[in-house]
Amino acid sequence: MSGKVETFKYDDATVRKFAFATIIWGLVATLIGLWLALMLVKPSLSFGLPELSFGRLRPLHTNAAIFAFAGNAIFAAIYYSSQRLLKARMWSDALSRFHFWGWQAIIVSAALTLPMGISQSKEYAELEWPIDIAIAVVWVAFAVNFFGTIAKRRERHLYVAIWFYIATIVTVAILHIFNNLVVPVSLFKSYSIYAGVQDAFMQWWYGHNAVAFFLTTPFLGLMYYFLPKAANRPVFSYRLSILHFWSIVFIYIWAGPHHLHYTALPEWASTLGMLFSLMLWMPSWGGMLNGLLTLRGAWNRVSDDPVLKFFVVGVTFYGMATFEGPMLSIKSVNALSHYTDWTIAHVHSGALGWNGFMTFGMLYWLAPRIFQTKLWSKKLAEAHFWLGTLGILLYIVAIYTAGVTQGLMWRAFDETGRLAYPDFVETLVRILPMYWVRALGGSLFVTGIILACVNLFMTWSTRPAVYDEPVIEAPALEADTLPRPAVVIPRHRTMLESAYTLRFFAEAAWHRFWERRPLRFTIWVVVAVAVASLLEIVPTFLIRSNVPSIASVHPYTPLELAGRDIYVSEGCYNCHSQMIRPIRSETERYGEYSKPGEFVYDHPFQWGSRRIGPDLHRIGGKYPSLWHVRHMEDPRSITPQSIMPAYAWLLEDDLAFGAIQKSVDAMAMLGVPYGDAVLHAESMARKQAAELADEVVAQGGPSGLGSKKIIALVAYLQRLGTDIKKVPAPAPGATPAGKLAQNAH
Amino acid sequence: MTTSDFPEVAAPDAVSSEPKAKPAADLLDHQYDGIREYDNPLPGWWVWSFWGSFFFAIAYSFHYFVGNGVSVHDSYEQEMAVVRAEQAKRALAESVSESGLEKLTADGALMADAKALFGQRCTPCHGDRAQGVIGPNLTDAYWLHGDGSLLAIHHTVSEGVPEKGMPSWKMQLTLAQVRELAAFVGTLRGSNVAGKAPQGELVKAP
Repeated sequence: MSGKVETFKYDDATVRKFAFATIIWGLVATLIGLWLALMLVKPSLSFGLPELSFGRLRPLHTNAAIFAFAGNAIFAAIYYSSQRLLKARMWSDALSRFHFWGWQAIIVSAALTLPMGISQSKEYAELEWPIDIAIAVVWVAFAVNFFGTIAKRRERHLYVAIWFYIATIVTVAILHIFNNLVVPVSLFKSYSIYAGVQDAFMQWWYGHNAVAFFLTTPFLGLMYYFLPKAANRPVFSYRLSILHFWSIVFIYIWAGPHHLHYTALPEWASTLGMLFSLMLWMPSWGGMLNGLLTLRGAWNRVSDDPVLKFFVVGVTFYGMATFEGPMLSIKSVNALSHYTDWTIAHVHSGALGWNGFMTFGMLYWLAPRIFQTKLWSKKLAEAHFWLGTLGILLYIVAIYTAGVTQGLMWRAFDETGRLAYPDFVETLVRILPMYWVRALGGSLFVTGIILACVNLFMTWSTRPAVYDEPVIEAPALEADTLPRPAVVIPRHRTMLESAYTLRFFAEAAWHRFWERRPLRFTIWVVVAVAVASLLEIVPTFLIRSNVPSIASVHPYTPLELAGRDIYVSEGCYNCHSQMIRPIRSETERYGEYSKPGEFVYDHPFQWGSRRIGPDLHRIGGKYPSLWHVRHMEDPRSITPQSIMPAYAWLLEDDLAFGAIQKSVDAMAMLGVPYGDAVLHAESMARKQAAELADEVVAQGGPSGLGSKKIIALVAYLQRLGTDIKKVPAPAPGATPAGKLAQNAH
Repeated sequence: MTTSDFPEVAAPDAVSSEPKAKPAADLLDHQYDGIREYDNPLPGWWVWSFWGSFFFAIAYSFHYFVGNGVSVHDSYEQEMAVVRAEQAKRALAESVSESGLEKLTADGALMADAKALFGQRCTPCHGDRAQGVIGPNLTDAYWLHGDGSLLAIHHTVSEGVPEKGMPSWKMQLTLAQVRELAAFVGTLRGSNVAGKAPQGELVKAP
């Protein structure tokens, strides 16, 4: 069955480029992270510059860590290992180049636009629509190149690493496209087509599965190639790899709603999220087992091989994080952990420990091979390992402590039944020492990456003048004539017929057949992912009782909408939630818990995921408008211990009244019943701005704010969460507000 | 097939020298770029936990969606009911105040007691729906004595208005019952039950 022997060469030039990009972006991503960690203890480090404020930089940190560092790492892994596992050069060198340079261009455009406040405000999907389109195009080019390589492979069966790559490529495409459906307002501004509950659902379907299919499946593929290679040991269990692969692909997709426990998301969805998260524990640990148990017989080499050290600790962190994930998805645990630093500690044990260390292990293993020389310094790699490990431990222990401390303080009541810490800032001041320890841990981790940069650069500098490109020989694949597996029932059977069938499936012989049918394999991955998604998405969108209407909830006025755009652009959601949970300590602190019907005009939703500052959903009317003006100008003039950045530029920058009409039109297109505002948005906004500016002056504030951005933001903040306190307009159509209400329902 | 481009890659048979390794039969005969695979059985605890989590999920779903599972909103309401009852109890121990009486109005169980008490003591003059018979309608926004605040109502119930026929209840009921009753009357304000025409001063909605 083997055909004519063919000769070919692997393309390692692309791998070298991705490897360099990985470590450089890794340094950038972690340096920004360190800067942010320092800003949390020293807010003055933003120097009052809008581009350096926490809300704008934090998305750059997360996007750089996920898509620039981990992204380039998985591309390096895929380009190196797929060629060898499929015995074929990448399908198209041109597409490889396009993929590399396109991806770097996307990263650079992210680094330019996010600090400018150009953001969709959906976590890890902040990039605006033109960049989203570029991502889709580059990803499709990557997919074509990858599946093209599979098509011309010279290895009959697909190895488990390739399965994980396939799952990554198809699922990330689906997630990216459906979470980023927007209506553009301008080149750099768009509104999500989903609102409120649905938008939150889609975002965390995406967000959770970005973790699954960008930070887990490709890294499992990476593990399945590089770990047995480095350990020089066979993989522990083939059948375990089948079972944990398919269970991960099918189950992960459901788990997203566990990010929305106790929110306005209908509880059936978050309950499903919890149950599927629990079911994910063992599939995830299947990957860990196959990693750690593959090392049996190689443990003696771990002590003197930095590559294996990185892999052992990386896989161990994977095991820890995938135990913790299901635990955090349990509602009562989540009630304590959600909105606290616990989540931050969890993701950093995953990102630094699993993604970081697997990447470093891979890079140190790759360096001598792709640069065709010896690793410059094994000692330096060892030093990187110990600095990194110590850094992670300091980081996560400190931030776990901070998270649990703050969570317990938020829910503490004194003996008279009042909140023990009614001032939010008290709970923050208590954990600031932990933030210093985090910054220390982070700087150790960054130092390790600097050592890696030096080591890889020095290794590269001792490369041969011309890279040797060995010619590989392998027979071409001919038509598959292998028998198709079938249930064999012996003539003299000793079991029921159904038992033979059961055993056939249990032994997974059918899977071997799938492994030589890439198209069938890919279709089944798509089916698993799509079916699971649709079973949750369709009811979320179609069941009316999920979002009971509230008659007194009206669209934002044009000025409030402009203020909301500022809120989105400044990234306020990075530190403030707008979602009061039905938990006593929350309703006592913030007011009535948030209802699904309050968010029907929120394109996109702003529920947030972390409270570095207090919840803002019922901030409207809580303070005088002048309070907000002063607080935005200099938060520490109101709360001396506050770590919020100062937003003085909002008092100086002019509000673009001329652009408001377009925003209102886009919202109206999305079905927001704007009534008269679609004709007179600008004049309505100017009128409301003038009134609010007069109010600020009457309260003793500065004059001349009526044309500034701050007035729109204050208008939005003063509106937040106030609608349900209003009595519904009595006569439909009697007032503009009445008309709006009438159109809405 | 094992012509690998790196020297480190082991010949597949190097495996058999591994002391803890399974018998060679478990090593599958395929290899990818020199990587081979065992077909070890799955650890028992893993299999049990894997299927166990499925069974748990199914059982929990029945408990939660079909059985007597309590939603987070219901458990919140239950907790708040307990809290309100405690606050009401505490308010009864303090001196009478508007805010203390308001806490009583929030306690559903206490208000049910008060309603029963109202039925025994007050309906003869004020009607079974507080719509007013001999005494005034208590469900409108007009008040003969005081401004309609809880404190004023408490004063009226406690001290009575003997010249108009309203008895003083402070000797017949416990202090706690007087407060309960005052709070309960407070909850009737603005419910506008059709009955006796308004009497007294119109007061703004509290």
